[in-house]
Amino acid sequence: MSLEEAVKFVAGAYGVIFAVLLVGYAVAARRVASLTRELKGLREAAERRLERDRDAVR
Amino acid sequence: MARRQFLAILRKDLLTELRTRETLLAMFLFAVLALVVFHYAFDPRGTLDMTPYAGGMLWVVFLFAALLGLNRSFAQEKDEGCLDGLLASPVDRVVVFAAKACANLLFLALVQLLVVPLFTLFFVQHGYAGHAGGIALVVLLADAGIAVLGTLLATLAVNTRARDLLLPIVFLPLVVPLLVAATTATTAIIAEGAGLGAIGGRLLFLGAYDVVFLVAAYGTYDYLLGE
Amino acid sequence: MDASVWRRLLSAPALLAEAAVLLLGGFLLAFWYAPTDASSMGFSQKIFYFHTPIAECALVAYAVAFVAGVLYLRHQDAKYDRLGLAAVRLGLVFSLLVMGTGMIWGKAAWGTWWAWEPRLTTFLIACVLYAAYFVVRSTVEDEGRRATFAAVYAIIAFVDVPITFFATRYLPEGLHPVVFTSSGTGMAGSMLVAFLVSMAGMTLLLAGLIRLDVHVQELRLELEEFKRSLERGPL
Repeated sequence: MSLEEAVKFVAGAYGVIFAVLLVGYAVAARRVASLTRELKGLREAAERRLERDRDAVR
Repeated sequence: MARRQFLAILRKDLLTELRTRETLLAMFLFAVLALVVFHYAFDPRGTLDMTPYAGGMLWVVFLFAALLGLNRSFAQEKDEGCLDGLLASPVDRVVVFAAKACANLLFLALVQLLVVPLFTLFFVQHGYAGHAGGIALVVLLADAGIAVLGTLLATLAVNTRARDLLLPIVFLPLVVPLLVAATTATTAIIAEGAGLGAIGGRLLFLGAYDVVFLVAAYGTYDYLLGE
Repeated sequence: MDASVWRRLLSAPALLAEAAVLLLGGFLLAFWYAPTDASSMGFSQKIFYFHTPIAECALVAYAVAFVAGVLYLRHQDAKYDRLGLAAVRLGLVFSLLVMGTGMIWGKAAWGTWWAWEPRLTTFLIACVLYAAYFVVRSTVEDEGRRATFAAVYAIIAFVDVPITFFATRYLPEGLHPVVFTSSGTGMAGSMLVAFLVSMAGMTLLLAGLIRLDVHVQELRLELEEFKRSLERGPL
């Protein structure tokens, strides 16, 4: 097999590795970000509700 | 005490099956049909010598027949609540395992006893009765592995939603090494008349495989049944 | 160094960053430092520098799942179940990568996309085996039982992997063994360096990704518990 062909295969292999791992990492990182955001939003909503209830009681 | 419990459970399983014989019949019929299917799948014109493939065909048939038997043996009990009754009693879980595995082993062996002559009739061109001992040894060791692993996994599968569907999925990949050893050893005996010396390594492997999964079953069976 | 420094060094982002550095280093070493293989494989041997570390990391991941399974059975702590799930998930991804790169390497080195040789076959079986892990999990509704079954399965599966390799390597004698050697008689020193750096990088990558996965699981759990506590009504 000529060098040029071999280079294509090697590049393909490393490329596949890089792509898969990058995608995996990106998916996980995005999930972390969105979940953290959702949690923060819920916490703030709960705090606001708590304050509203407290005001209503007063 | 444990031995009495073991024998009692074993007796119950054997008697239940022998009374109706439905599982054994299903396994045997399936095996026969599989042989017919093999003939039409691989050698419809009947011109080929299938002897080199003997081991493979035989063990495929045995594996799938075993799966049939394993499924039914547990499904029946789970449906009729016998399993819960059994667990409520103060029996060591491992005894339950041992008894069930033995029962499954005996059923499989019984079916095999009937299927091997039929198989020889259909596919093998020359006799190999002289090597029956070697074959019996391979079958025994492989059956033990199938029974141990199969019973362990059937217990797991029957307690899930998928039941019948799950068992083949988890059983087949795990049983591949056993399959490799059993088929190569069986084909060596049938096709080449290999003696104990030639297949000794594979027999040893089968034995080791059995021991490994026996230990695994011993360590985990409590957790599978425990509630 | 005190505990907090260690914890920061071992956190997911840190691990991934360290892994990236090492992997880049390994990559550069593989191509600009290590010599081209003298055997017939020639340049395609360069795939080995990432392919083999990925393979070993897949096995490490499965080992982690095994240990997590044992720990779960002993302590019944859900965190071990999460660890096991993350480990199997990543082991599966890495195994698929091994198969992919293995097939590419096979095509480059012997001209065929597939060969029933021990390593490829074992990883194929491992892929099926650990994919079934997820099937098992999906068929059990009760959380405690799901974790127990998953733990038992992870234990059995890991025990089976070396057995499968041994069986496919030594039992079918008389079959044409396509010997998949990484290099002729052992690695030249510079090759070893490149390999070890890549290996270290891959391992850290695995650790980082596992931690990331566990983190995602924990966040999801926290979110669900929070939602449930909100539904339960005002305090």
